[in-house]
Amino acid sequence: MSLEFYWYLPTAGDGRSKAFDQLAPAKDTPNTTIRDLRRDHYTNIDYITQVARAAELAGFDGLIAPDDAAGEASWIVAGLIARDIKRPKIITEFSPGAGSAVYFAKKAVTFQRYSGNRLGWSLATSTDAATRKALGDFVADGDIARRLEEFLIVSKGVGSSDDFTFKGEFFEVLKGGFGGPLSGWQLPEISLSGDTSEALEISAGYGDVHVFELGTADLASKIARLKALTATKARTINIALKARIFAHDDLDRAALEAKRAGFENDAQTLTGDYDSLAEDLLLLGELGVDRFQLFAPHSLETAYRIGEHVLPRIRQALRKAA
Amino acid sequence: MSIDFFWRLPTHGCSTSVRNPSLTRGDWVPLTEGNQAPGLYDGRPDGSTYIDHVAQIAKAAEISGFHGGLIPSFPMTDDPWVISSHLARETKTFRFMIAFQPGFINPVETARLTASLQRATGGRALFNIITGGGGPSQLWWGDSFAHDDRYGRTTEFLDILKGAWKDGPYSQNGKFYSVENGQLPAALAATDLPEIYFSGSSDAALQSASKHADYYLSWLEPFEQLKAKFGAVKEKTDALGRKIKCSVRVDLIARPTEEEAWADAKAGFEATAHKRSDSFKQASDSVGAARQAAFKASDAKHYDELIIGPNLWTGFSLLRGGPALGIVGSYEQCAQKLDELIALGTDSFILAGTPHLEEAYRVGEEVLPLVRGRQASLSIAAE
Repeated sequence: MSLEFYWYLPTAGDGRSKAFDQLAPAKDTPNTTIRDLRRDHYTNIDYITQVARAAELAGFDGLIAPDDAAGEASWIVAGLIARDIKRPKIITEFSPGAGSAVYFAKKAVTFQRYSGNRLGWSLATSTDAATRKALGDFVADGDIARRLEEFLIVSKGVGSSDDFTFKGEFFEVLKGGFGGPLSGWQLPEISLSGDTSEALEISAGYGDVHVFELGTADLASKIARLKALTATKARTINIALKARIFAHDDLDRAALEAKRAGFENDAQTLTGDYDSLAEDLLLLGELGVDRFQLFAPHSLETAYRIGEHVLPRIRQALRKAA
Repeated sequence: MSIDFFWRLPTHGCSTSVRNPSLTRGDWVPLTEGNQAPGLYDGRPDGSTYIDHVAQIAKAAEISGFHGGLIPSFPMTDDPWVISSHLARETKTFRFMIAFQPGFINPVETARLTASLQRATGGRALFNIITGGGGPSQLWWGDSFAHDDRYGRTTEFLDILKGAWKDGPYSQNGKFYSVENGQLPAALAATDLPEIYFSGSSDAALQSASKHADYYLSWLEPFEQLKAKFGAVKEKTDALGRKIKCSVRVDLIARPTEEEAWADAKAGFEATAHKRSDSFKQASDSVGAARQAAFKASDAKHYDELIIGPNLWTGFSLLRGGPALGIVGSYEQCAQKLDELIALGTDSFILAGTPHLEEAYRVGEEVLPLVRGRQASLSIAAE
């Protein structure tokens, strides 16, 4: 068994200092007794890039720029960190409703060229029609899955052939694909999510990673079902688990931090000291999880705590077992 | 009023010399002697990629006094959104002029992308909106709209982009795009809208430009023709209640003496003699491209057949993909041509020279300081 660890970048605020983070719900009045030289030189983006670097230095395998309409654009954030971050994979989360499948494939090629094939895609569309319409996306509820499938067919098609033609209901392309130095790059790793039969079916056909949320009912049986479904298509798929996490060397302090943030006894949250979290994550690994996608308020500190204390425990245990 | 000068970032390789125009910088041609291919050391990958070369050019341009650079987008190029975000944190003043077509990304998503880029750069994003220039090749991009329809779409795209950004919650029910209660988070909405450079020579383009463009961008055309075009744009957009400025995108070969400049144009012409092709003979319904193709550069037997006036040469399309007409001359003559363009109504320039890195320094150091701008334009007008 091997386990990977990804961290979600706090693109829509991180529950921290109101002094520089304009995305924080309430900005403090500046303290005028202190001469503040920052003026407008810093935004949340400066902080996000520090979190990304922190996660790299602390040993995470990848970073995820989530698609949160309340925050920064995921593709911009991914680009901003790409020159600083040398090793981890970088996943951009976006909706197939955001634009043309050909164009997203083209952006991915440039990203792969510059980053050495480190880009991943996480594709998801809001199930709430009003949310979608506010983003300029008027797709019907019943068409979301079909559009996702077309998006995958077209983006994979132009990414792997230089003469790809397809005419669907949502996307089309004539003799598309990339030549010269734009050809031959790996397609971004495709992460998909959801626990409906339809979602599992699309993942089995097109996904490289399927993301479940911590607290998903019957997780083990859903994983088994998805793996079996994927095998019928002569493919394989990895399983990721998304979870909020509170970690501290003292279990009570971890619980206090979770409570303070409003996630006491929350089904999607892991709370514990370093030993117990390592144990929990290893147990989930035995259920079939290959990758953990973690997030928490105060990402910087938490990423360091997890990276310095929990990941070494897990990696050591895995080495011993091997 | 001052003039803005931009440079160009080459998004599909660059030549080592205008005298030998092959895309030897970057990975668009196989490695040969004389190549500077970032990413290879003694034939093996060394961890650098083409973006490291592009970063060098962007930094050279900002150091040399350019406001920023146009980042072109074509099927064979790298992508300007990716380039801009990659370089945002290692440049200080360089403004990113992102070329894109409204069909690529939906307008609300584009608003958020741009606002985030504004926050990351302190407001250094600009648009070069491309609308025409596609024709049958538009379907390569997965875009099936007809030429004039695409301008209607650009108008709606910018309506919604600006509405969701500055007037959210914003709703509009259009033919091409719709939105219901679209808006940006307050911190993003507080950033400035990007300046919009708009191209297109057709009537449909002008109609659309008059609503949203800040700058009307043209390739260099013969000066009288360009003057008439800029005059028509300004007249039409004035009548529609919106003042827009005009910008020229032009390549130059600037050398200490005119003789050296023409010698380099001649060398480049002769080095490409064996592979004459006009880069605009592709399937396209662009009106501007048709005007450049009309120079018939590829029919010339000798470089000087392509001289159409003092320091004006229509052979540039033989040296690289792009328009034919450009400026060849001494530093003083190049500055003089730029002054003449200012006199006929140009408010901003996108310049380029090959190789882009060294020429950014040369033009910034030698030509721009000689540009006298409006002062000169008064005396030129009086002549």
